[in-house]
Amino acid sequence: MTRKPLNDHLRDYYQERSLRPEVLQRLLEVGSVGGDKSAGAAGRRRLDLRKRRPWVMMAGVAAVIGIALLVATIAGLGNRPKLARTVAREIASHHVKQLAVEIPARSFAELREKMAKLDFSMVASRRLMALRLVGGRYCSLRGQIAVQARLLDDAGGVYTLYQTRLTEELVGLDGAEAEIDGVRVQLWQEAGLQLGLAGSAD
Amino acid sequence: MDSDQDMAELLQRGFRYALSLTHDESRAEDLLQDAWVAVLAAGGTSSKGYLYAGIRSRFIDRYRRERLVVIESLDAEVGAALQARAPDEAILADVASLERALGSLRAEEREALYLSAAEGYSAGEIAALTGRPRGTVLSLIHRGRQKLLRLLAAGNVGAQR
Repeated sequence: MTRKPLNDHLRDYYQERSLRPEVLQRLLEVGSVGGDKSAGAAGRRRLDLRKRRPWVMMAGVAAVIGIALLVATIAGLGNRPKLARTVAREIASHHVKQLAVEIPARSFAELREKMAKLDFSMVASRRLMALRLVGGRYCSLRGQIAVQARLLDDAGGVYTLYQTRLTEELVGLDGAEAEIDGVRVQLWQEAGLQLGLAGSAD
Repeated sequence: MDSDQDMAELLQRGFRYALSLTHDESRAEDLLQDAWVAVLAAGGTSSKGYLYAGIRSRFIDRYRRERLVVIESLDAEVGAALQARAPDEAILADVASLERALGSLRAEEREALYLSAAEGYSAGEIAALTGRPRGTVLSLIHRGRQKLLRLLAAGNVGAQR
């Protein structure tokens, strides 16, 4: 741990981050193809042909599944922004109420064990790594059973997390974000669940 | 095009800028690669501004398309009041704490802080690059700094207990 101005911390933090050597080399090779317009196409071909990550193939499979889901929910897409706003507003209003934590727990595993009535298995998302779980309570979101958990950050900031089973209605809400009356709400999906996190926008 | 060394430096800077937006190295690499190919396709210019603009627009397309409401509540008056820079006092921090704290910021705040602190851009230059009013840029920097200082201070207190 070192003592220096915040700007120096930031500069040093980013200065220590760099492209992986193999990626840098590939991009340099693409750049050395030439400065004409064909370079982009050539570069794109090269980048497409590279074996940049093993999960690229898996992403292709996932994309096919995604398209299938998209087709299945195409009728609801027109209402997606409105639905996302409705869900975010529901989460924000519950966050503001700060209802009591009925089931104390220090980890999602412990909370999962104590909340046996849930019809899904809640996840400890990586997005929540910087937050500390206090506990949770049963609630509902869009009419289905959900968990409402309370988390704190290092500065004492309070967050309300929702998790519920991902339904067809909610499929299009991954990545949505809103600020409602000073509450920032993030919606995302993982492990077959819809998650929503509310906290102060400041 | 420039020498390999110049290109490598430009790519590293582009990567760090993308990282300031995504706070995820894998996503930053993807953004940079796509923007780099587009730069080459457009004639191979080595302009940093051009590359940054490409990274930024791809970030918005890919990760912020679903964003519903963008709140830029700080007006010109608040921005003007922030022009007088607060003294940059020395603080204690380690890399892990800083990384966690940065992850709590909004992408816009990280971006403004990165361009200001790590790249040395003025608020006017950041405003030109990001298309935001200068007052908003100043407030993003101010808010980002305050959040970081608060989180780092809380982390240090916790660590010393």
